[in-house]
Amino acid sequence: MLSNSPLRRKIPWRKALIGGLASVLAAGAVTYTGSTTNAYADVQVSMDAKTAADGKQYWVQNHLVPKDVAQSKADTGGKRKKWLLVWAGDENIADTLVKDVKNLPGSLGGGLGKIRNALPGPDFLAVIDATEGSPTYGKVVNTATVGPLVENEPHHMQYVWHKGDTIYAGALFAAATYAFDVSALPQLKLKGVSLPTQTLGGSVPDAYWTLKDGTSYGTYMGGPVVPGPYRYDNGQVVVGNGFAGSPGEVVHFDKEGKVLSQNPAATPQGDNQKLCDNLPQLGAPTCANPHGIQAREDLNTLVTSDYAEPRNIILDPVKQPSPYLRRPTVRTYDISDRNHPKLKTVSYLPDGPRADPKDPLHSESRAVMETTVTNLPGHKGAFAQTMQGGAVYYTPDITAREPHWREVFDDGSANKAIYEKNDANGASSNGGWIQTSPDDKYLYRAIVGRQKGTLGPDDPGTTGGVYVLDIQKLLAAGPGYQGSIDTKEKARHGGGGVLPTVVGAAPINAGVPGAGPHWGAYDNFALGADGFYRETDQPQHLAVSNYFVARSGLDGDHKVNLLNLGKDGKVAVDQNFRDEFTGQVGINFNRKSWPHGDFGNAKPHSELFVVADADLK
Amino acid sequence: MDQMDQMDQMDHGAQLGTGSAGIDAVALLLRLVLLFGSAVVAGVGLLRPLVGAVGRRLTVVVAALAGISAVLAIVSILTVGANVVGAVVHAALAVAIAGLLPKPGAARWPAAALVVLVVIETALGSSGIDFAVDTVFVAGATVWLGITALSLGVAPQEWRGSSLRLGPLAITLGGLLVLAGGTQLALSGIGFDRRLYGSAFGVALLAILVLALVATVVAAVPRADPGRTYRFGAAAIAIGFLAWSALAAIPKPPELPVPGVPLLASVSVADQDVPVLVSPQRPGRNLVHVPATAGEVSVAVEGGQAVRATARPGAEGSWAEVDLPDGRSDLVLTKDDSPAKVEVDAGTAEGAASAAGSDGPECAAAALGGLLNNRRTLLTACPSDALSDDDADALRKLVGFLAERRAPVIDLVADETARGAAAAKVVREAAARKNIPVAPGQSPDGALVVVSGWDLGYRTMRDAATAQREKPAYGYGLYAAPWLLHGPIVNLVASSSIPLRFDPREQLAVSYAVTVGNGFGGESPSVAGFRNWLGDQWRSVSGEVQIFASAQVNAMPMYPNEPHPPGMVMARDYRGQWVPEGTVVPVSVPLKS
Repeated sequence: MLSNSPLRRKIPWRKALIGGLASVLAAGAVTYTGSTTNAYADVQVSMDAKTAADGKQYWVQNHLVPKDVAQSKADTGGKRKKWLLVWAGDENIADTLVKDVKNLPGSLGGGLGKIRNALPGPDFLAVIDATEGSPTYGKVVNTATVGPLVENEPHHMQYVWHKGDTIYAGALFAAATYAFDVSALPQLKLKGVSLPTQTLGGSVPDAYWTLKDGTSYGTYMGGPVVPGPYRYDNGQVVVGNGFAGSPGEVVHFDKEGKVLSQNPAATPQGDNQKLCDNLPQLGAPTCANPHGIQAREDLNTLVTSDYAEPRNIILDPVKQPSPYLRRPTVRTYDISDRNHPKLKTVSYLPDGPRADPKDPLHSESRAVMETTVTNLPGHKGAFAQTMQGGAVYYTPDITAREPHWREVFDDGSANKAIYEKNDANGASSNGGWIQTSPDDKYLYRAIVGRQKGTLGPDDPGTTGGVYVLDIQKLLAAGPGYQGSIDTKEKARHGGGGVLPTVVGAAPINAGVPGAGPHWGAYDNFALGADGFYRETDQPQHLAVSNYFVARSGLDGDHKVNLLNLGKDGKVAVDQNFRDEFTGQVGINFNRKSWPHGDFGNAKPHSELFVVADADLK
Repeated sequence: MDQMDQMDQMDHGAQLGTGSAGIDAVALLLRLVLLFGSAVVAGVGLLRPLVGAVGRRLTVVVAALAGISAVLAIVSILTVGANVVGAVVHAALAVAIAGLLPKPGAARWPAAALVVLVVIETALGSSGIDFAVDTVFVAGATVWLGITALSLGVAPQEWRGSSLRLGPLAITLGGLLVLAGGTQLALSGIGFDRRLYGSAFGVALLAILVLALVATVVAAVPRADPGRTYRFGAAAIAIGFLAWSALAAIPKPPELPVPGVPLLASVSVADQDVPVLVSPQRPGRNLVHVPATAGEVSVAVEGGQAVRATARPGAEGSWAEVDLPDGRSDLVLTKDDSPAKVEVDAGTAEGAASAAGSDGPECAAAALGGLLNNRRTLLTACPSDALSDDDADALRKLVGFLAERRAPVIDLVADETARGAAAAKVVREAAARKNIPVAPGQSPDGALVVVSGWDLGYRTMRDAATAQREKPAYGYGLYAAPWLLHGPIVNLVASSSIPLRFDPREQLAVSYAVTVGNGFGGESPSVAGFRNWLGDQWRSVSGEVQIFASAQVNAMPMYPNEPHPPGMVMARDYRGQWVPEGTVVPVSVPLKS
């Protein structure tokens, strides 16, 4: 018979067990919230806000991880820090979903508390330790979130940062430009923000070029914000077809992000009617959708490249949109008056040997996303690259009344250097970043690669990555250089002579077609013997990011990699730059936790190497 | 995006047999057997030190249940994608308890861990008080079942003396289970109405509570052998435990329909959970709306002729017109030959005439906004029944904006509704004051101003887009009244401009957009819905009028069938956007009169 009487002999285990179990369950019941805790325990939060033109407060909020900063300083003997700033957007797709926890054996995976889409999280600048040898190398030590706007679609900053510069960061969807003070990194401050109501002559900001006086030019790829005529500061009246349409403009910002001037990219008479489509149609067709932008102040010349009318509308679900919405043009401007860039030339890039009239989208000239200028006083040239065209063009003199652009390299001839199983077809290489080295010896280039099936059902696609071209002979040859990519053979294997040659290449996501980087930046800082950083004209590292614009269909795996760069141009992925959570090479922006919270995946579009003022001479 | 892709993006991966999407019958059966078996094994292990030698029969039973639990835990990795570590730990604990059963002291530790695991598995997805209630019920039932098993499988002389008084413990456990069941019932929100006995969910809740009460009453009867108390109550506890474990798989019944209040319900049809909106829920003509993700659906009043739900210009999803009889009736939704019922109650009073007409979708979208914020108000009027002072003021300011831009002519498009007629009058008068002629025609130098409802607004924008593709037309742009900021309308054109009093990018507007998407199959927000969602709070959101531009910005016009790289979200399911794949930004300062 079971006893119903009091215990005669006390058994300690029972009390301990019952007490322990009750404690565990009680604690769980009280504290369980259905989600796991943030991986960042102690985060210092500080906010810097400014009142914008609309009278509202805009802010940047730092979320500093003090333990990483402290540990890094202690373990490196106080070594000064170099930072990689990455401008990234919240993904907001099931971003709080944690599959592993949701599917325990007895749980009903699909039906129990299935996570719904949360509110969009904030976009942010990630501050990543890029100091070689640092114990926190690759760690995100601060996420500087912006507010109150969400879903900005962070896009480009300037191409390179110099001491004292404001950081200009564009918001593609919000049509805004943020100006950040990075002098006291890893913390940031907000200097100002330009809203769409301050840039009525253009929309959809893309890229920035900072001038020696600290002000900056920005390309606004889309048209004036409302359709109809718009009068620019120089008096020119341009008829546009509306927000995110055509034609775009060049905006001049002061150091606080305030608009100094708006300047037309369009010609008064319009552009080539056949090559430049607009939707809705304009009386004067234009290709003026400036994307890439670089300047040579010593030559009083600014160069922009036209990419595409940046909005999309499926008028016919089965009919392809016009390939002529993607542009083949490069523009130069006279910037003798820095505040009023004056459009000087419009050049149409010529098609190359791969061009097929039946497939104009993949002709070499199509979608001139980027341009980069040479840097040394003896050089006057610039390069341009095409995203769908997959080609690199060069003109030896951007000051000319009619710059002559010729194809000097086809991405196809770099394909096998990147990944030996690639074919040698450069069409639709989805190239993005292109940048001359400060010493004008090399040309750095990032290509996403061709997605499987792009050129037909049997197209295996190509692996993307980074390649480096030696351009010394080409630049040395001067304006009368000989050669161009004028045969399919040259497109596949290089043009020979003085034309650029591949000296370094590295795959990103080798074997996965179309998963390479869209953007990149070179590291223009080297540590001196005195422990301070100085600018160098021989970068030793590159940083690249695998993301374009998710809405466009070109998304990527959201990783940021560093690459080591040799003096001979050889390049290799830095195996030490690893994700602090996965341990894998490359910083994965698809993660659950950030210093600012469990906001999930983020989309890293662009990056810059930056050093705090106190650490830089 | 094809329909399959859309469906994959939804939380509507419906499964067979449970009546609830996302949970299949196999998973439910696996859950019930696994949790019950594990609870018995854990209960025996936890209380093992109370007894000396364990009989062979109990050892075999525990070993069998532990084996079944272990196997099912491993099977769950393959069948329901269970976390491998979690499944292995569950299996290992069950086997360890069975293996350590001969050692009274050792079995309790894995048993304690297994109790915690069973609680977590039962409560996964819930939090706060829900989790606490789950914890109390599962732990209480586990102890009851453990003592029952021991009383059946251990000779009376093998029970050790203990401070644990099993009789009072049974009353305590029963009381806790009653408390948990009662709390669950109170938390369920279904209230003391016919849903309690008219729905599986209500019956399950009722069963849990009643069975716990039965066990408590049984426990209250004094017995010399408290083991009998546990055995008598075991069946009630076991059934209650199974009912509790099954609750997560039983669809919760919707709110009872209230005549004249549009009904928002969810039905499981053809393996898919489909949200349904019935407006105005009055006798006579009503609109029945399902989201686009529902696919092809037909609707009928039970016993009547089925009507296929079809697209309506300017609105998302599908709409069916049905005639409801007075009072309560059932609507039958059919998809892929699979029917599902929705109970409606039209009452006897007449509804707003415009609720089921051409402006019915906007009216329904307005009601949906309120319903999604638990605002169940009688639908007495629709947005198209009158032009609000705020909207009239916004239209006047829009005309002023066009005058400042020196638009040579306005092509005004309005409809015959009270709102449309009043809006047209406002625009004409304002244009006259500003000396802008109002004349029809797709002039290359004109501006289109649309103040109609969604239906005509959609057709007008579609025609404008076609015209603008062929030749320059409406050079001064396409302008729409505030109520036309709706994805299917503004996404027809490359860009459009709208006078608004709120910024769709700000937190409340984004919260509402996310709520609509989540609550109604990914549907896009509407201005009327936002107002109803906010209720009186609308006044705090409604500010000065600014012109906003809307466009689908994506930086690269893609071919419809262009292949996309890995990692791309085919659905582009970015909830929280007012315009799908679009951008809406202010492009003017606040406008003056």
